[in-house]
Amino acid sequence: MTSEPITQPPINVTRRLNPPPRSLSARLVRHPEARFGLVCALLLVGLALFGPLLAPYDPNQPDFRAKLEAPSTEHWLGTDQSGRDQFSRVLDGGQRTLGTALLVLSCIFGIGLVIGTIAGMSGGIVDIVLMRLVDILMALPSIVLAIAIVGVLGPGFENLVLALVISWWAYYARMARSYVLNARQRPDIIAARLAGIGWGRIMVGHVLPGVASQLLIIVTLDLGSMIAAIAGLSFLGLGVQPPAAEWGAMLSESRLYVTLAPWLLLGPLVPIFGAVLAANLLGNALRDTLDPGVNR
Amino acid sequence: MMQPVLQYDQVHVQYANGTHAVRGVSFSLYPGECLALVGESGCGKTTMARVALGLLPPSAQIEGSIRLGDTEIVGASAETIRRLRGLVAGLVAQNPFEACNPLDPVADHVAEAWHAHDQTPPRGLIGTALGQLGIAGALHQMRRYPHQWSGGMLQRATIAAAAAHQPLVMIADEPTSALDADRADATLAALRETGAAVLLVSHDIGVVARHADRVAVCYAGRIVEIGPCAEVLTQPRHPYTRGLLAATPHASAGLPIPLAGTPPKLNEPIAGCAFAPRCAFAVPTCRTDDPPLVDGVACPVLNAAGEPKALHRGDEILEMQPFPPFWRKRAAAVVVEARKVAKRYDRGARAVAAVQTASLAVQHGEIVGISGPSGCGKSTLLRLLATIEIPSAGEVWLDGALASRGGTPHLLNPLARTGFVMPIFQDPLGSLDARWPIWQSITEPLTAPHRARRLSIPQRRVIAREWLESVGLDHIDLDARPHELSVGQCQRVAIARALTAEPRLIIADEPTSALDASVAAAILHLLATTAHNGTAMVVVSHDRPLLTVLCDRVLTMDDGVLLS
Amino acid sequence: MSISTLPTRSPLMSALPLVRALVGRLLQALLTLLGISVIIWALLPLAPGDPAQRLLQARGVQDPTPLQVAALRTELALDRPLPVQYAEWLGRAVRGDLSLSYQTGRPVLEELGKRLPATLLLAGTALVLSLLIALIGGLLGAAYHERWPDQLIRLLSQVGVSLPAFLAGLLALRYIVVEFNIGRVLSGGQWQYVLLPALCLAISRAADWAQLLRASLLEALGANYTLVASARGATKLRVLWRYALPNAALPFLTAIGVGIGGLIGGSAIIEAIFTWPGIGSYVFAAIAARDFPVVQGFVLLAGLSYITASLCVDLVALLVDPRLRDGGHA
Repeated sequence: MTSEPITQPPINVTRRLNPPPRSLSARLVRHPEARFGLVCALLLVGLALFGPLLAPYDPNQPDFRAKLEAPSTEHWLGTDQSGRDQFSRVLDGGQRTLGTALLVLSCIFGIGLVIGTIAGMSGGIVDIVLMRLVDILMALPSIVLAIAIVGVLGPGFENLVLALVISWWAYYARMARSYVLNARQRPDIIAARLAGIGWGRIMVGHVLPGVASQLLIIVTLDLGSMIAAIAGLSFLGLGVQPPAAEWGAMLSESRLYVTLAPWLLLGPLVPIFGAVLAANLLGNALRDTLDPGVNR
Repeated sequence: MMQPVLQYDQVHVQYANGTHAVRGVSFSLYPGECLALVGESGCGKTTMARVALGLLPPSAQIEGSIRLGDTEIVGASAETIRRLRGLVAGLVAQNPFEACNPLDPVADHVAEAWHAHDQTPPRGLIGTALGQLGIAGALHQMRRYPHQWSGGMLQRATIAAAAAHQPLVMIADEPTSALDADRADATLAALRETGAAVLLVSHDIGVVARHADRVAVCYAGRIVEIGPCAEVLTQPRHPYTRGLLAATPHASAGLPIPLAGTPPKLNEPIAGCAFAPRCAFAVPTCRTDDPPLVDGVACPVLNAAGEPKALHRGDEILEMQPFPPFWRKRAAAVVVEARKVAKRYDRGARAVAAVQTASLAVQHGEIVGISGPSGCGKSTLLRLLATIEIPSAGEVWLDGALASRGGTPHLLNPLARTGFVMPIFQDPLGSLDARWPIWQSITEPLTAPHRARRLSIPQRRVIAREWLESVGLDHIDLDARPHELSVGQCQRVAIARALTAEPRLIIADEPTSALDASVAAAILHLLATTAHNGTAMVVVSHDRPLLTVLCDRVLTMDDGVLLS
Repeated sequence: MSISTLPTRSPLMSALPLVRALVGRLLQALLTLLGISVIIWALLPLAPGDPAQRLLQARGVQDPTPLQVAALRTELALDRPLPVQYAEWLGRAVRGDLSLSYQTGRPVLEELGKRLPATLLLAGTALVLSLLIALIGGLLGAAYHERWPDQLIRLLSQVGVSLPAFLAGLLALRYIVVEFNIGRVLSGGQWQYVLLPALCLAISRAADWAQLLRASLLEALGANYTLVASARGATKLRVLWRYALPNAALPFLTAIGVGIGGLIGGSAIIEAIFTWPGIGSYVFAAIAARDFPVVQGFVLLAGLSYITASLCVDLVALLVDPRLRDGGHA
């Protein structure tokens, strides 16, 4: 410590009169589009969590006396070709669509974080090999690769998840790596290194929180495309298999009856659209809040 | 008297977000003269200049009267103002690289002066105009793209474009702040040679003193003092002008004297004189009555009192006297020594030598300054001294032991990672982790594994508080995040973090270039005090007067070679 | 870099960096193609079950004897080490031999080639539509920033981005084809019927690109060079057209390059919905029949077109931006 205090004119420590709220959630709530997205997202999450409990009928119980019925007070969204209540199936299916999207994105987040960080920190041959792999994977449209993998492995939930993870993680790894590479030159990290803090602590304290929040923005921005991809692949018969209710698979079935029972289409279509819209709004809001100056 | 070419009368500008950037400004610009608007960031000087060309966002509210030539600008239609631009008034912007469309050759940028008004440039005129401004091989150069030009040359090309139609007025918004000092003078000389009246916006007192005829000192959206350069800059009358000049490093004076306090927020109403809260001469009426600009000064107190002989802002100034060098506890011990270090980078096929050769020894308690133009390798040398990078050739010794050597990719001296050397950076905000509260950043060096004591969080907060007080941040919130502080406060926090490690050597890369003069002066005092307590220091800056007042010796670096 | 140190260059010499950058990019694309081929080849060994058995079953042999399987394994060189198998596969693929379809027994390349024109018609129309819509939307949005046309475009593009191609296709099917009997579900891939499926395919991409173009235009309009151009007296329209658009084109081009990947994948789905007789609907039939050589051929074709598209985008970027030609970054 210096024994002699430095004489200074008193510094007028004025804090901003209206400091922006410190917590992210409070800042998000101020964003008007985010508010709408949040409400939609909460509704959808609620639907995914409690939907099956709210379903008035057993979603998989056929009733051959009531096939392809139009919407009524009894069956709000009508019944499908086996007489199953479409409303119950929509409530039941949300969990599968949204849950799968979250599962796939968490896997991608983890893989991207680990591989990107390893590549960025190690440099040299490890970095070159990993980044070549990333380049190659990114040179194939991810939806094409996913179709091919699930097509070869055979349809089903596990293969769908596997195919999406394989075809989607590369971008995350590349983002994580470039963040780590930038961070290594950051002044606060140079200061910590000179002070004697080891790389491990620097990673945990300074680098990883930044990488994680950066990837989290991309996860939110990608959530909409992921929901669309899952529903789309299931629609093509490559994802969740009947009779399990899933929005994309239900769309596929309803398409066959589009002339006979056109009402069946909107039941799963509207929630898919709503989920993608909510995810996109949330993602944009999160990006604007965390990286001001973009898109303004 | 001649008719002014540009005349402001009680001009007010308020932005859509409520910022009252210009609060009643009146001045006249006469043909052929250069009037400089000086002041610190946020004082409204850029808005004052841009409003004359109608270049503010449409949502900005403008009141008062601005006459450009014979035309009233306030309230004029967009088309009327557009027809004046380039023909009656030209603009020279801050950074020439940002001012030119990066996708077009420089010739197109100059030709835009004609194309914008549906004219074709006379044949060969562009090349001639560029040649007259001292651009060698102008006919060939102008076919090349902005990024292939040097900053000083490109700025002269933008002057040629602005002056294409011999406008009455040139508005130059910080035209030299992106350039090195020697190029700044040539640029301003070229600007004056156009013959137009120049409204120069600058924060650089030195540039203004050398090139402007008159100067207007701006504070909080107002002009507080206006007059001929020779008078205002040598015999300042307004307390703010005095404070600003005292805070500006001057080679023949001692350490600059910081100006206490911060400027007012322009989005809140200001009662009385905006400078009163920071003013040592303030009387109660200053806080209620708005002082008018009388005889070139907006300060009734000083006008009434006449010219005071000695300037005293209370007792502060006495204590802020510069430290005479002999006060320092100097010892012969060499803290860091570079022996013929060199550093090359491989950039694709070609190797770029950032440092060709440099030898330097810094003693305990000594402040060594390194100056030089941008790209001369001074920052790289600093990184070599701090062992952030390993030299390609030569050796760096810390505390009498070899720390790094060309050809050996790893560090040879564990001392280099014990807080023996600590850095201070140019960008204060970026040098702190944006996610961490400041107490955590400040005490981070104490958590290094080689430190014997393990500290609890309450202990760390107490230590952080002590260090913050020692850098003059007494009442600051320990849990504040960097973005909640001002740039100057961030730089103090960064210095506190460096001091916590109790380093023997501090390296500082342009430590004040992101700061306004009054804030920068306070940082210089902090650095001087630290060296006074025995820490050796190497400071890199492009600002030679600053180094002259701060350092024991100043070395020059040019093209990768350190000259002694 | 200072000017004085650079030698004076002839026009031919100044084209040199462009050529060098082009050749570099081409080599990189070839390397990537080689990498992709490994992944595509690996799809087959990855598939569950024994390939020889699969092939025999596809040829109609119900219960293949171990002898038959072993003979076919030797014939297909399945008993050789994997790298050798890859090298042989690659050698055949380079010569255009993507082996035979399990279903029809005809060369995969021929089968795909037959259906390629329909897919190109669909994807090409969708690309042109997306670009047109994005250009109009982006320019209007930036020109009328924060006024009602901008707000309308923002709302529409937000909805459009959230409408994946298959949802748009189903909505079109339900409300246009079934309700008003316009267009048709079972088409022969003729150009008269391409507009509706192409529009469905274009919507989300057009909305995405319009948002991006608007943002890049606004960024360019806030840049200093546009301010300086206005200060020279340039009109708003001239600033938008002459300054903002070329500068905004660079990020826009990158997005187009990435978006084309989605277009290739999306066209497969749209083909399935509108039973468009292109490669996409053929591939889904092949997947259902476990006809893997066709799947391989499809991925190869998609990868090839994607790489070509990115190459073209890079080329245009090189032509637009002189900084990229000098090896810098925009």
